[in-house]
Amino acid sequence: MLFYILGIWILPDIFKAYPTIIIVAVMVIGLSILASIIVYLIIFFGRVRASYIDIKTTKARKLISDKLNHYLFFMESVGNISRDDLRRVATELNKLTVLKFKSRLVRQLLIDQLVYFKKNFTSQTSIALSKLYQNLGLKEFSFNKLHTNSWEVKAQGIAELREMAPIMSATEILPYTNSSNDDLRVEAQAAYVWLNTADPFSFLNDTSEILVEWHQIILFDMITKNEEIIIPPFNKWLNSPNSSIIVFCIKLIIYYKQPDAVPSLIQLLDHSDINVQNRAINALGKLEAISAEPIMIAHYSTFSKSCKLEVLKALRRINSKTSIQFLRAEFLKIDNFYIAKCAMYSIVAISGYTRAQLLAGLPELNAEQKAIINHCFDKLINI
Amino acid sequence: MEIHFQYYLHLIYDRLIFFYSVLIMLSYLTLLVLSIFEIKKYLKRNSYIDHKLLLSSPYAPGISVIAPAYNEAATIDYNVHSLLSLDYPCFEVIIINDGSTDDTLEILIDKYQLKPTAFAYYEQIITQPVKQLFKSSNPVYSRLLVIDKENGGSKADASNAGINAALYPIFLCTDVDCILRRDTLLKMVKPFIEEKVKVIAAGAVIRIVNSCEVESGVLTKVKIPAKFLPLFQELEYVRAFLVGRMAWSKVNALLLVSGGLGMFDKKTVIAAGGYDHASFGEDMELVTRMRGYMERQKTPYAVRYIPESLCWTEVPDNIRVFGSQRTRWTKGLAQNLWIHKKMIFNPRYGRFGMIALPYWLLFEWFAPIIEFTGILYYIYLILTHSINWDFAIILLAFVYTFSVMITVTAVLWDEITQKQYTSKTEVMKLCTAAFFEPFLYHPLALFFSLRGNYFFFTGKKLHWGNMIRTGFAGSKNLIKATVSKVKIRRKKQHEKR
Amino acid sequence: MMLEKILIVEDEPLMLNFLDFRLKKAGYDIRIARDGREAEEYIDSEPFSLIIIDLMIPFVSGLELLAKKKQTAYNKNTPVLIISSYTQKSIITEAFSLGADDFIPKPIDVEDLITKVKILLNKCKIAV
Repeated sequence: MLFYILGIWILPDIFKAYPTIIIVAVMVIGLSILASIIVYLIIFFGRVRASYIDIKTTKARKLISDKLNHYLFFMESVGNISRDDLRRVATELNKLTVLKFKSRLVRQLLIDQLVYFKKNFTSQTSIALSKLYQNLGLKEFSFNKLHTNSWEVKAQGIAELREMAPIMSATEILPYTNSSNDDLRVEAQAAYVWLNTADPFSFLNDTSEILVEWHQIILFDMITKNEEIIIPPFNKWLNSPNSSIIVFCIKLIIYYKQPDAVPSLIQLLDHSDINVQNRAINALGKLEAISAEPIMIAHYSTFSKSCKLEVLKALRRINSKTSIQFLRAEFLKIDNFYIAKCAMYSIVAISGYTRAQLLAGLPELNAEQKAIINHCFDKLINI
Repeated sequence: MEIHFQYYLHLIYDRLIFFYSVLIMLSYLTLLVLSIFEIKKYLKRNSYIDHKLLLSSPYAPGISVIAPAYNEAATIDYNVHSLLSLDYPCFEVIIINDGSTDDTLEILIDKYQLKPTAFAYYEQIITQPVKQLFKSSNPVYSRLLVIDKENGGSKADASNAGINAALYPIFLCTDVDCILRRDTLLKMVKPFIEEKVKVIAAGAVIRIVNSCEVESGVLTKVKIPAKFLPLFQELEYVRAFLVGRMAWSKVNALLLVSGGLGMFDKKTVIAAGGYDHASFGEDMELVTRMRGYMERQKTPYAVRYIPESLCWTEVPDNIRVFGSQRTRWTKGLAQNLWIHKKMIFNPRYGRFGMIALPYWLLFEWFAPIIEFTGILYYIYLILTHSINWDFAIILLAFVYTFSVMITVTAVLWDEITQKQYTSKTEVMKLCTAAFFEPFLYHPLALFFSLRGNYFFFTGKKLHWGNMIRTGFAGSKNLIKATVSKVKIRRKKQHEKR
Repeated sequence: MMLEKILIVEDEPLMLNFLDFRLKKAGYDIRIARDGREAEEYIDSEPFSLIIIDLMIPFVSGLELLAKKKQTAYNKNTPVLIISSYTQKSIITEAFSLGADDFIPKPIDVEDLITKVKILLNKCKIAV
């Protein structure tokens, strides 16, 4: 309709006698041609710009990388570097006038390289990199990113600061730990953990927001790589109403081997979320909680299939001969292939039987059960 | 009588068909807008992220890479090798030798020092008999499992055998002749771990390898196809993936995750019954069935697409092979919609039933048929000298300019996502191809999809049911829910893959 | 005296550049290979005192290189130092079982790297 009115208004007179359909069609033709031309131009100039940037960055990258290598080597061999030396290197890098150091592009390149090195090296090298970062005024550059409007730039800024300038910036980052954008919030929380602030684990008190697997991986990485952080007993969050927080804490309990958490983990066997049950069983196994063995066996029949499999694996890890009787019964039940297979794996691992010893203790087996036993004893499969 | 006929004919073709095409165009525009939102979102979310974090994480989910091989002796060696060298901390590669008549298996045994094992293979989804399972005696290749089975005549059957043997909760289904980027697993697993709802399937952009430089199974330089047919197919792929798939991913109503590269949640796939070995479009059929299953379970879920080109595949460069491929695709689409017709316009299936399926029905399946009748109408007008040439040309230009605009914009989306080609001229070539596509390539595609429809409508009926093994008592309940007998038509069950 | 010859196999240019630079300064003769195939050619054609391998490299994986090295004429007994971002136990054990002599996870402690290089080179000398 709009097209029609517009068409009547702008098209030459000869069209005006045409039916509505044709007028609309003519309008669409015009617009499509216009749009196509614009898109063409965008693609073309985008390419021109990209190839210009590409030439520039390749050159810059090479120069920066050479300078950095010299600098890093120098830093390490002298041990702690003096302020003057540092300033000299900084001015030298600043002097790369060909690069127009002040341009965002080159700065970002420099930061990227520093971050790359920082991620790949520890100790002396790492300290040297941080110093350089601050002396080049790149910290301010990253800080400014926190004041832009797009969340991904903020997140990038936070990531850079966390990586390069660990001593400061906690207060600057704090507001973002409550951001409504999940990605930004987790990035901020990760930085917060990394910066050794007063209460790094406050994010675990979150009761409603689901902490997705990917974010758990980020935070897990931050926490476990931070050697200075004071590790609390994570079982205090195991009664959180937020299942994802419980799951995350269970992972940390396993990593830091916190046996005190066993009683709380046992309570989680009744949790309403199957995933939580699963993880709890997994943790009990990894903590080799022998006290949990009879309880898991007692609960066994009430579990879902996936939890049953976890129990069988946990028993393998707990590795006590008392569970063999139970595992044997599970294997002989002919209920589910995967359960039988998992039970047999555990029997083999715990008992250390040879195939002959094992078969001697078992009644006549069906083809499937024999296949499972052969599978468990095949060295090629179980490398 | 004659007058009535002409009156209705004119009414239909002058009005209704016009509105139909306007509707299609509007839907394209909508997809164009939706897709750029989804692409932007993806780019933002991944702009500052280090995917390598997954490499050192103990919680990176395990992935089984499943690739069926049928008579691939020429390239199997390199291709398996490149699958084995994907970057990921926890994965296995399962190659299914689907009864090859050449020495595919022998080459594998020789190169990877395979030995038969006592692998306890459990058939959750029924397939043609599995003869033997091999593992490598060389610890370097401990991630490799080779299944030797009898030919099942379809990729679906072979993939199902792979799923049966898969160890990990997520699997990636691909073709042995597809070339994957090394970080494919890192990128594709991300939707599975970053969403709050359960992700049941994910796909990524597939490109065309025909003119690219490949060295021992590794892509070293991306080049635009040089030949006529592959070039236009590249254009079509860019449009289909970056506009179509991304937009449907945005509204979570994706129907198709391509067989060349798709990652799936194993449990859901098995619960839904695995690939349908009688389908001509088993990839689309699987996703449709999985979605149907999830909707009935009333579990929130998602199917996601990522706009990155991770997989390069060879496309036909001669009309004959191209024709049979397209015919099969159309038949697969028609068959799929027919099998699942109960979901179409069924509010119980949410957005999927109310928007996505009707879209595919009206604008994908029926479009070529309607277009064809439109052409017949024009011929009729010309023959009866009742055509208004001015109008006809304007209407033709109307459709033409619009479709060029959509295609060129799709190329722009590709440029925004990642600049695949190294040189400007290559992109410009692609853009120029967009001008010629409507009258050079489109008629071909139209012809073959008509042929596919013809085969579909003239095929014989047959009864066919999902086959799942009912060996152990415990798994029976699961099976009952998924076994549904459906009627499908088919002409030849097993065409060459 | 002949400089001790070290082969570095690494595909990330920045890392490669740095290792090359750093070890040259430390007084070694360095050869670099940017992917597994280049590395294969090197170990097939000349003897090295030490090989440093990143596990994730194109064409031929680090683990395969380890296995292939054992079959070469020149480098059968050359010690191998593995560098990798994979830190999962299973992968590290795999590398050791295939004959790696030492393992350095990323991020790298450069001093640690230099010490390990020295130790491995000494071992090699004693063995000879």
